[in-house]
Amino acid sequence: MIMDEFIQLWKAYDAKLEHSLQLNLRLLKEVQTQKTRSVLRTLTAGRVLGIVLGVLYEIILCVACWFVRSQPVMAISIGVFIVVTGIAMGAYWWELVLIGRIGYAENIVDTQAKLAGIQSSIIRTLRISWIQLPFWATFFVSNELMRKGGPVFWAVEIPLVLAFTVIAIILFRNLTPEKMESRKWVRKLVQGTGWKSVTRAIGFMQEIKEFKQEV
Amino acid sequence: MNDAEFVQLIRDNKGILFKISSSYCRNRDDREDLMQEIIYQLWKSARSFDANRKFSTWMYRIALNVAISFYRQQRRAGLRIAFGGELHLMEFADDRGETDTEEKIGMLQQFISEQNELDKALMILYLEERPYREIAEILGITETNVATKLSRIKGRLKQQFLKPSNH
Repeated sequence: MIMDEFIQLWKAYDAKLEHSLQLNLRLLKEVQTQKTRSVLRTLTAGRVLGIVLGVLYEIILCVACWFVRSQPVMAISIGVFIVVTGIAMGAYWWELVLIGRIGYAENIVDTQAKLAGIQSSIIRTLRISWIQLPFWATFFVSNELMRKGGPVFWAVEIPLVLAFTVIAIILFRNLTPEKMESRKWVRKLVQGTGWKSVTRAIGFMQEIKEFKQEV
Repeated sequence: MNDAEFVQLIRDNKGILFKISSSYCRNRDDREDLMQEIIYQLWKSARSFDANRKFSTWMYRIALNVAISFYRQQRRAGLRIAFGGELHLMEFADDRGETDTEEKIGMLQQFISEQNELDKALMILYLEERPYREIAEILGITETNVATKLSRIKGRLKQQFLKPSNH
């Protein structure tokens, strides 16, 4: 078949639809007034929920920090949690701004790249969150524990903090959309946490990149 | 754009809206969901439509952007508006039996549905006989790129139709 025949075939399909497809006007009115749940709506809801939960978590952390203000290690650790959660909430806020700027009437490649970018951006928030990992090994260390813990405490605590620090550095350096494309273990780790949509979004960003390339 | 104009717009373009939905969703329920979503987004954007812009470019961009996003979103239960009963937004009033042309249309649809999201959009725009310049504007790539990609897809399409099993 030559290409003109395919176009004629498509036109024949058009003619068939024109003849046999009936539009239900009453339902059309309902679509105009009832809001369907679009992709943008789903993305927005996720970020809003993240910010609401983040605010609640921040309040709890601030109260806890106030109560342990005389215990420097505990206070600093909780302070780090407060800062990291604040950064994550800021990132969510910024994503909400970006979602608000997306318009379906823009060109397809740009719109889809922005959408996939936002879908995959959760990986950046996750990356920042790992910074606090070593402090999960210190937030319970009171002045008294440091004084009376003895060699056993330090023999456990120091390797634990060091191990958490190493893990945090490795994850912080590797949990990026770019590394996910090239490193299988990073992809598996993210998929394992149930974020298949993130890996799909990153894969789609690669497809968009290839689609834009003139080869 | 007022309500009456919008209804007319959907009426005039019901064929392409159906074809886009069918190309991205083979399942009837998904297709219905997608059609609702496209019409809702068209309705939402119609209020801000700039009359100086080309209408078809605007419509194709919205319909295809929604279709690609929808296709990529994990299907979830309860996303659609429940109209109740067996009501559908678009219904075949006269669904005649398979003819040779319909069989070929089916094969063409099958071919389109096998393409990736972006190539599908390109293929639909080509079959809709949109000029390369407009296709480039809708997709956000250059005209040269449109030509190169189309030539590859056409090659694949010809091969598909030349397969002995398709005769």
